[in-house]
Amino acid sequence: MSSSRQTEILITGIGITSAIGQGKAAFASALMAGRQAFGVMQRPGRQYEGSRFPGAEIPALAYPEQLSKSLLRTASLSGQAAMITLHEAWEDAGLADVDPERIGLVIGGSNIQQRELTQIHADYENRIHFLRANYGLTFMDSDLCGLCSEQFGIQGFAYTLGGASASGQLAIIHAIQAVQAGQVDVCIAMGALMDLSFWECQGLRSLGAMGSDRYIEPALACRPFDMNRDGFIFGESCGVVVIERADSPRQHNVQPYARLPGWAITMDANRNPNPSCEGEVRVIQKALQQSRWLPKDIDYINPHGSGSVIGDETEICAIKACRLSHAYINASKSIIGHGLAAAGTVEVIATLLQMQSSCLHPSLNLENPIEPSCNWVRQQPIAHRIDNALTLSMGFGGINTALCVQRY
Amino acid sequence: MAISDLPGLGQDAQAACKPFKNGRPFETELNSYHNLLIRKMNKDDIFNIITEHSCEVVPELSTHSFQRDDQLSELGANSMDRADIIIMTLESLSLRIPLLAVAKAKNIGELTDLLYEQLQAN
Repeated sequence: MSSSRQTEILITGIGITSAIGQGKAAFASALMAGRQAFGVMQRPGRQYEGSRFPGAEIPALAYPEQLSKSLLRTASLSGQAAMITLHEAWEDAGLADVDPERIGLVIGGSNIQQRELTQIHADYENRIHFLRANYGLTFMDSDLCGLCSEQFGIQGFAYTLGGASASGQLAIIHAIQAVQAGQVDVCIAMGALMDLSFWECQGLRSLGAMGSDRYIEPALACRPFDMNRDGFIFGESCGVVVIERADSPRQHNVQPYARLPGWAITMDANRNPNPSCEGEVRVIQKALQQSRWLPKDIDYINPHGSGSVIGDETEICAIKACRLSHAYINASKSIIGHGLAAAGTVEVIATLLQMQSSCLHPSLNLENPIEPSCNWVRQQPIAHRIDNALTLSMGFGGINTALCVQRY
Repeated sequence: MAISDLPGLGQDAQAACKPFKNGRPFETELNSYHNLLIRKMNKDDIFNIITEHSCEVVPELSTHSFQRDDQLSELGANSMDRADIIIMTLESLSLRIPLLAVAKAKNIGELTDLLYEQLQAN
């Protein structure tokens, strides 16, 4: 991958829907205040008899009037969150006047509607003959592409791609590549709301990835980089960023959030969930090289930081090996929870909002950091002007992504 | 509560209920009652069920005054909406027939007639 100086890549719009707030203002406010929303999950299909999976759920979606009621009727929770979140980003970037054929959409995430499907299977188990026709369309993740392209009139391209918990950042990288190659002038990247059922929760827990029940108070269970962490805690979210070239033909009438001077994807050549310090070092170095940044240039890291026992240790290993211990680091997942497919996009948005406010959000439950020498933001927010940020995402199957974000 | 206590059943229905009085679970009796009422439906009842489901699927139709010659496609129901409306209607009628059996209906009136015929035949 090589970035040319002429084709500077910008983020010109964002949208966010999460358990801690819908819309960028509510989200930023909750993030800075460290206002989490963890509890024992209540959404139908999230628990089986006897389970107490902790997580953060969106209390109620607010639907903009402009969204088609007909589309919303058959849209899954993931589909509704996609339309709502894209609406915010669409307005934010002012895309109404862009040629629809010059707009693309990349949705990060695969198998994102599992809870919804589990509920439908249970509901129709004894009356399958009367299964609604819309199931034939809505069971596919790509239904989100259909929903969003119809609602917003997108005519360039729209597809989904999967990279486990790196899907959200992978979508951004694909969007960058699409505008850089001139396929479209504007490309929207979405990290889709991954709607887990109790099956996925149990599977992820059995794998040792999702946190245990040992904390009776769910708010204490989510503790990335803390000595007493024991896995990630799920948090519903969906994020959208709008990517454009600085020399895009359309007249920019919005202030860009940031430049994206470098990015990288590496694979560990390992199907399993255990990460690799070597693979993460490679992805960081490639992104820095493309940005023409030195380690000292980075003043903030938004890490993957899921709270996984081995994942957090491996990430710190890579950060130290890349000589980035000086940079401020906090854990957005400690407040939002882990959005899985959405995480990579949502955390880029968290980075942009911190950049905009010149304030770094706290990290909840970071009582005893696993590596004291890192420059942690702990219980309190810290006033800091971010100039050059590095955001990281990792996923099962050995995928690592890195994205450099520069103040505009 | 026995099925014979339920309101709205004529003499034929009362007679039909007799075999169910021997201690069958209430839910079974209720289903039988439901099926019996469905068999007694006339075309207006079926027309109303179709229009109720049409409004459920296309909320914009809630203020529309439905006529027999209304075409669902012209009322804003796309192909998926139309299939949903028909399947929801079939479920309300407890009618297990292939969708093809009603495919030739050109409007809500014809759909009503076809469903009525199917109901009588089943």
